[in-house]
Amino acid sequence: MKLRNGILGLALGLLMGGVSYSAFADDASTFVYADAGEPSTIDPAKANVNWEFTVTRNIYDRLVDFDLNDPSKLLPALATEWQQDGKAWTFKLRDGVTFHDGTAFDANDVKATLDRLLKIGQGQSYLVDDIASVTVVDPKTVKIETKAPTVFLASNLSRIEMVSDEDIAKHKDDLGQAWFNENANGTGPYEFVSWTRGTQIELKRNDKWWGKFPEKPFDRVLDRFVTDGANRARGLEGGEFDLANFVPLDEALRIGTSSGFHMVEGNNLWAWPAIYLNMDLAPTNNKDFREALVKAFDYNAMVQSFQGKAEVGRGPVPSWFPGSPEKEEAEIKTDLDGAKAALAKSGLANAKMKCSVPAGFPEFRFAATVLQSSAQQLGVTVEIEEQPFVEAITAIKSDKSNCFVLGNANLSPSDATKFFAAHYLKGGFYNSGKFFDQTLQDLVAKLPTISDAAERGKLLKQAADIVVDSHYIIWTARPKTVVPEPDRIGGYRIDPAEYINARFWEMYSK
Amino acid sequence: MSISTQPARRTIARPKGVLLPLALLVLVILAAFTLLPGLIAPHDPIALAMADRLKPPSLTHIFGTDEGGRDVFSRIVYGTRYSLGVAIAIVFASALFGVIYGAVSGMARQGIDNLMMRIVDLFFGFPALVLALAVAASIGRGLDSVALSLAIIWWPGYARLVRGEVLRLRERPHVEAARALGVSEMTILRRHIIPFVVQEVNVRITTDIGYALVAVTALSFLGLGANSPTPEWGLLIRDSRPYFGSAWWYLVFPGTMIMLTATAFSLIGDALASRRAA
Repeated sequence: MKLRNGILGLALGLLMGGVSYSAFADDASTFVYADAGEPSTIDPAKANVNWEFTVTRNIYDRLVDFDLNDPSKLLPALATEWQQDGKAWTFKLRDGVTFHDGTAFDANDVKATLDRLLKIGQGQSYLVDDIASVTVVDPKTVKIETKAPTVFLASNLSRIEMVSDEDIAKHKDDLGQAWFNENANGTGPYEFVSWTRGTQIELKRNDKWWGKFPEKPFDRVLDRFVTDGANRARGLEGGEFDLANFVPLDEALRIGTSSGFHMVEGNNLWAWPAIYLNMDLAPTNNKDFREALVKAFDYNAMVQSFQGKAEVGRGPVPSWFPGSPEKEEAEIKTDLDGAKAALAKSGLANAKMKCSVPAGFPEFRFAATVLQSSAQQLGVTVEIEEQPFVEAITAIKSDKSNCFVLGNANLSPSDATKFFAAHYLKGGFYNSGKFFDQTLQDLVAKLPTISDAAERGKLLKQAADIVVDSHYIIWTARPKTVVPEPDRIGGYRIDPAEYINARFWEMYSK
Repeated sequence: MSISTQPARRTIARPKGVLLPLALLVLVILAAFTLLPGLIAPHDPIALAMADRLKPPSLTHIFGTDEGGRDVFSRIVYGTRYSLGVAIAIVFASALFGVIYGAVSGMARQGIDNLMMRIVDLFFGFPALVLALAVAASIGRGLDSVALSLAIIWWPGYARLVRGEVLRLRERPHVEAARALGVSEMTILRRHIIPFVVQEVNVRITTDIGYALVAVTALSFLGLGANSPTPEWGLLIRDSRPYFGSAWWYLVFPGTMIMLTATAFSLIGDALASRRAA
């Protein structure tokens, strides 16, 4: 009897499992996205990693958008017109836009959003930290004054998501941080429904959105948290997911060329991985030693590891970025003789160093292995330690490690100075090796104030040269973004000003 | 995965047919891998060879290559001394401490014996692998910390085994006779008890090496053990996971080596146990 009940229970369980699975797999109106992590917040003022942007980008709108095919070209979004007059920018806002709770969007929301963002000072606030004041001219007009004239304000606002001033007022005790961390009320194409911790965030389509959906959009989105890349790949291949974030490249290429899939490829702003060398800790505090490492590094091995879907950068700003000086920069390539000469000059033969690598990224580990192998040819020993991200970055910041591996980019579609802000300027969060150069600081401060593009280009090259000549970072490769998309869906586009993202409002079922 | 820290079974059938010779052959091969890796491995286990990246098994690379073009067979050969070496070190260290602890407990007065055994019970009361994970995570990553954390969870099994044997043997006539002749307790333990206990411990050690190997590789797989590019077997499996869909060999061969090694030690342990029982 017990056995029979057991078998019956098992059969019922399998049946139910099958039913619930098929509800996701065959339901053409539900889009299941395998994301690489669970957000720590969905507050647009604090979101700072890819899987947090997945949520905020689809719930909230920005004042302006940019053309994915030409990031220097801005497109209307919540603002329909804008103009600059010295330090003042004026934005005319779109009529008839409402938040998901039904309240109207107006200039007060813009002011409250920007004031709150700058007070909190996290997430993408660094993109607009040159704002001095925000003034409501009338409900449909807002004036933003910057500390100095900046040509990039509108472009950088394309990354800043607008929240409701009423939500901020309702939760004003902590600037609404507790509430915004796990609740959302935007004007965007998808509405927040629920957050099941450890599993998924559910969104539903906002059919009152001011923008335009494609034919057969998805009414419901499940943003699943699948931290293991191999599991994301297998789920995508098996049909459990409609799309996946950060599929390991080998798997992406294999799946993307298999039956029932196609490949979406494009450029992104990332040098990935980038190896940061500690400027304060011996032996990497020696410029000649750093030069030896940069010259010994086997860049070809990295390009091959990306199966040719990568190139070697020549500096911090990729060649396809508006105004990039990269084409004028010297090629960075392996030069073992040069490396040996630099090492001899440093007087640090047989040196030992430690490299902290954030765990979970095969590319990071591989880049560290290539560094180890390259350095070995010079007689330099590199000890690699994989650690959780926070431990790894803390190790280099606290001078317990000589190197740290991460990507090197920014999220502004056309403001090249933002490549420097987080990575090369004093206090920048990712400036883990503590690089400092006063000339660079001054150049980066001056660049946005120059309206002449040619003059800006000259100064940008000077800034790039300072970073290149310092040998602070080894830009190991600039890989392309490769996303396998099932043939049953369409609409995925790569944002060249990011590594990978999901714009659910452009996705559709075929 | 579970780690056995319970006493070995007393009555075990001797492995039949070719199993035992095969197990012994595996041991000989492992010994050769450990002692003479340079003669056996056809390629450098560390140097990158990107032109051979993720190549399937062939005559040149019988177990295929990894993401750095390194020969998987050569990495397995060189990795033997890390994975198996650490497993053996853990078991011997645990056995040494456990034997002393168990013997002292068995010979001690009841109150001390009780206290010592309750301490052992504390270790048994906590899931072994979870405890090992917690210890390894708290003392830092690396094979050293894996060895230490596993030794910490491993010794109580030996302590309990030996204490039981000591309690049984101390009532034997030859021990009673020695005691009656005025031989000291330490000498009784050394001359009349330990030699008998060692045979039982030997069986346990042989079987445990296989279990310890699985535990070492599990902790490395979870990121607490060896660091790249050490060719430790658990780390090989961890590194291979992103490529499983496109390079099955990278995961399958290290996994097979772990399985073969653990099985071989288990079979030999069974053979020793059955011989002792006979």
